[in-house]
Amino acid sequence: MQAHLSVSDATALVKGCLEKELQPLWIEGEISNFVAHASGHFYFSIKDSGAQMRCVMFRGANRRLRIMPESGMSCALFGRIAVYERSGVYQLIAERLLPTGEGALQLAFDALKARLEDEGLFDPKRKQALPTRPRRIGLVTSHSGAAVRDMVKVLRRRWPRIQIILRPVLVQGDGAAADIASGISDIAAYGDIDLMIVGRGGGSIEDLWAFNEEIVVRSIFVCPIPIISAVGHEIDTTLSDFAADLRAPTPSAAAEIAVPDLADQLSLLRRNFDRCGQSIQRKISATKQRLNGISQGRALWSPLDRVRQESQRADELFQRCGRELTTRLARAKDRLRALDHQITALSPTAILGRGFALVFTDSGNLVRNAQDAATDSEIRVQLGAGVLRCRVEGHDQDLIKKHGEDPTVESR
Amino acid sequence: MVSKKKSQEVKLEKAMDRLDEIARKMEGDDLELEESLKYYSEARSLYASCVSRLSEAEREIQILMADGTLETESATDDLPGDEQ
Repeated sequence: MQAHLSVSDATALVKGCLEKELQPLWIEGEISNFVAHASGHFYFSIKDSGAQMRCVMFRGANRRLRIMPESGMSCALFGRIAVYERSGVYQLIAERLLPTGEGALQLAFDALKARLEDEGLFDPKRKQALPTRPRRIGLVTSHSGAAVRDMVKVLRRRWPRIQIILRPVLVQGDGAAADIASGISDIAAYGDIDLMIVGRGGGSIEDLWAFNEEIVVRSIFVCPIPIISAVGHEIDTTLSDFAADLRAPTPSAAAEIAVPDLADQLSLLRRNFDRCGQSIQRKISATKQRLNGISQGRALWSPLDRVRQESQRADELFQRCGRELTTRLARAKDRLRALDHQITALSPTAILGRGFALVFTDSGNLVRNAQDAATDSEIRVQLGAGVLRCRVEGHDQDLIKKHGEDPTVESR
Repeated sequence: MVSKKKSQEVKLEKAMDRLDEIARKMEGDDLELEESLKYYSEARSLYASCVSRLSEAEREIQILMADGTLETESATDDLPGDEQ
């Protein structure tokens, strides 16, 4: 008799067969009994008309999902078959999940939209106000498309002073979503950007898909700078549009919204200035009228008289001051002239010119006293013009007395 | 350069708002003539400086590449692909 196997041993045998023999595989079907467990793992079944299979998608794998699976969703699952010994069941350990069939993208869109909405990414309260007169605008779009040309043209036409910073990005295909997301944060980090437009021109829903990617939607949401989304045409709505602070139907429309019109702003200025002008004119004419009314009343006469008297007095005072000043000036001039005469008269040359003379000894000393010049010594006599050389004959006391005490004027 | 332009922009914003505020004040409040004259002369200089700032025009586009380098592209009115 064959030895009995334990349940565990038998299950291990089955497990070994299944897991070793079967390579990882793709299975297509419809999801049912979907449960997202609190642990983060997903439990569900996949079925078609003839069969169903238990599936589990662990947290590590389902975290990468673009969309939230739900019952009824058609999808393709990739994974390996494994046996869960405790329940005695085999199941698919799903690594990847792709929606398939008609409307798969729409399903993915709706699923992600619901998830991000729950998280508050589309909350109207989180929207930022757009600046009224931006100075610097960032464009995150393709460098080569018509969209960028349209935007630049409109921006320049409406608001010539706008500074445009373009961050060229891939807008479709592999890597587009990551490029757009980093473009947004690059522009935000550039500095002094008042406003951003993120978008592209029209295309198929697949072409526009990058703007539905979670990474793009999140980077729009966290961006500290107000963003206008402008993806495709009027009829196209992307998740970026929901996260943006404002959705524009087209890139050109985004540019129209982004900046004010110069002509409007100039006429607004003019209007405000004219309001000031009209108001001041009203004020002036009202004041004039009031003044006229007052000056016709008696009340103002006596104060006016007093004012006139005061001003007359001031004039008189002024004139008197003027006269006084003139007199003083004339007097000062006279005095100056007299002083000048006096100084001239005192100069030695002037005195010599009047007939006086200076006498020097031989050694050049000035003779002030007759005794200073010895008899027989040589003296020089300086006259108004020229010098005489003389010899002293003697001293005549009488002559000195006769000519006064002190003939040397300059010693005074 | 950058911060200077920014502060000029703030000034433009403020100047335009201020002109609006003055217009309201002059129309609404019961001001003395002298006060009105003061406001009017402020309005006149605000108007002149706003008009001159608004007349400025940028001629270039800065291209910020993915690697962080910056290129300047002169983009006047002759952009390729203009259909008009």
